[in-house]
Amino acid sequence: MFASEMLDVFRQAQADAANRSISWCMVFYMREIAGLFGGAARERLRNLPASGDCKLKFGGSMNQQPRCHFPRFAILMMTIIFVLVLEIIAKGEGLSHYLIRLSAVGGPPLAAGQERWNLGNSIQHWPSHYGLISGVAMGFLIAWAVGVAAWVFAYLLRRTGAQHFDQTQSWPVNH
Amino acid sequence: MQATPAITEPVLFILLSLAQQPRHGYSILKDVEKMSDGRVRLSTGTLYGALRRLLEEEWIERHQEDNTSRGRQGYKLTSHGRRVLRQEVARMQQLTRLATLRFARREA
Repeated sequence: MFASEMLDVFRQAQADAANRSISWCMVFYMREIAGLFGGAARERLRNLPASGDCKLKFGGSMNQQPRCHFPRFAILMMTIIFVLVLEIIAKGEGLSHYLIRLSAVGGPPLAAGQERWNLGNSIQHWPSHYGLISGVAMGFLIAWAVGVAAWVFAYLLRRTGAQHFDQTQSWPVNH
Repeated sequence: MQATPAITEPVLFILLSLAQQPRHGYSILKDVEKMSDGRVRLSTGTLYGALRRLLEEEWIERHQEDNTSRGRQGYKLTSHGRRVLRQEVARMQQLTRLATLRFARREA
């Protein structure tokens, strides 16, 4: 509602601060940032429903969630992400053990098709294409994780109502 | 009758600034700083958050400035806002009188 007017006032205040000392400028920017976050927090608190009205509801689609509505699909996604994170940690641990053993051997890197490594007195068996398969799988996982992160970001943006910014109007039109 | 929201110091200064004459945003910022001898410096976010609430409460209203080529719009006190400000000032005067009396009794 006040976007353009706020920007106008901010620019004037900024020009005024620019004519003063650096410390004044820094205080000005810190005050503006604090005011921005404080104002946003106050508005958020003002718009919070009374505690009795806010009951967490499960179920429903991802479209235009009502207040305090928790989508079931999000639970599924969170579970999948959690399992994948555990899986990635396990893979990472395996990889780190593998690299430690490799460095202990001190020999040449694993050649294509080579299946055995002589590690001191013990013989370790590694699948011949272990590195390739795990690399491809890791690539898929990373791509999937990036996709999920983008989806979460878009979802959060939608929740804030940012898609309505282009419909905002600074002043009411006088007819 | 709707409940009167708490008048914080920045809000009081904004109302006092508008009590004299209609003003636009930057003019309010500068006037508040001047009135408080530089003690209260409002950020843009704080100012417009307060202005929005005051507009909602109908203590202030928009005001079109005629003498500017930019058609800049300012704010002015409504009669309701002026009444609320008078009540608040009266309340503060009463508080000050009471505090002065209490201090005087203790020092006597």
